[in-house]
Amino acid sequence: MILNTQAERRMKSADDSLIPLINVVFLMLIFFMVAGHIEASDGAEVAPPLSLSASELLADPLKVVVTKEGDVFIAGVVVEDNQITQRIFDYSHSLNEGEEAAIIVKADSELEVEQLQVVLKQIKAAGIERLSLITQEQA
Amino acid sequence: MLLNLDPAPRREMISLTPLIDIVFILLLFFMLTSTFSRWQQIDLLAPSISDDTQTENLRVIKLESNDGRVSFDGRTLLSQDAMALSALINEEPKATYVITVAKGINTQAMVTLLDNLKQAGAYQVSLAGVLP
Repeated sequence: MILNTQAERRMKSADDSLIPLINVVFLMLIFFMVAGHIEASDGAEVAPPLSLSASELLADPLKVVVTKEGDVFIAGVVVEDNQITQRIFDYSHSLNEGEEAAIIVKADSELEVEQLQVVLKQIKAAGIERLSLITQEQA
Repeated sequence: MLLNLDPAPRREMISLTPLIDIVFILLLFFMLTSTFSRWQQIDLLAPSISDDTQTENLRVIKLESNDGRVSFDGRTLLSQDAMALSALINEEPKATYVITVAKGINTQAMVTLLDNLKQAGAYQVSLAGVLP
């Protein structure tokens, strides 16, 4: 048997030791790109209530965020209580023909329901037919 | 004329350091911006609910406390008590169950009651003030 012990040696480079590092960093990069998703900022920190029997999220509704204190944010900006109906009305009229105006409310789990009801009534006053509440999946 | 004819330059390996810089920046960006929470939704008002409520009856359940005490038509029960709740629902499963709340109830307690009603077999549940 003839062993070719004189195989050509690849030139050593200082970067060679970095290749395992790059492998790991690429792997992490791909993980975060694929597993995570990027969403627009709500404007405030809100923890939605936990729920067992909720369904999948609608594709692209307008999101109304209500904080623990009852402050309302639409598209990341504070909206005064008396302007909610106007904002929702403008939104539902900016939709194309055949598109259904759907509103999704992201309320904090510690928000008092009375305050939530005030917001919901104002949204409904704009003639909205589909209204949902965001929840978190209960483990 | 003297020409300095060097031998053909050996191919150098491309340095990986700039690549790593960019990859690290991308990694940091995706680590900091991506979220892993999965949101779901509970319908409070759907076209089907608002149509049916004109013909069918409403049954109003009042949530009295954050730990799940509810009252309906003079009866008091706990929303965690699945047996009592399904007995209540089975009287009229097709009715729309509407939740009203006492003062100081938080959204989590209300959503838990919505869950419990749905799991006890309620066909349609909603929140008072949302329905006409």
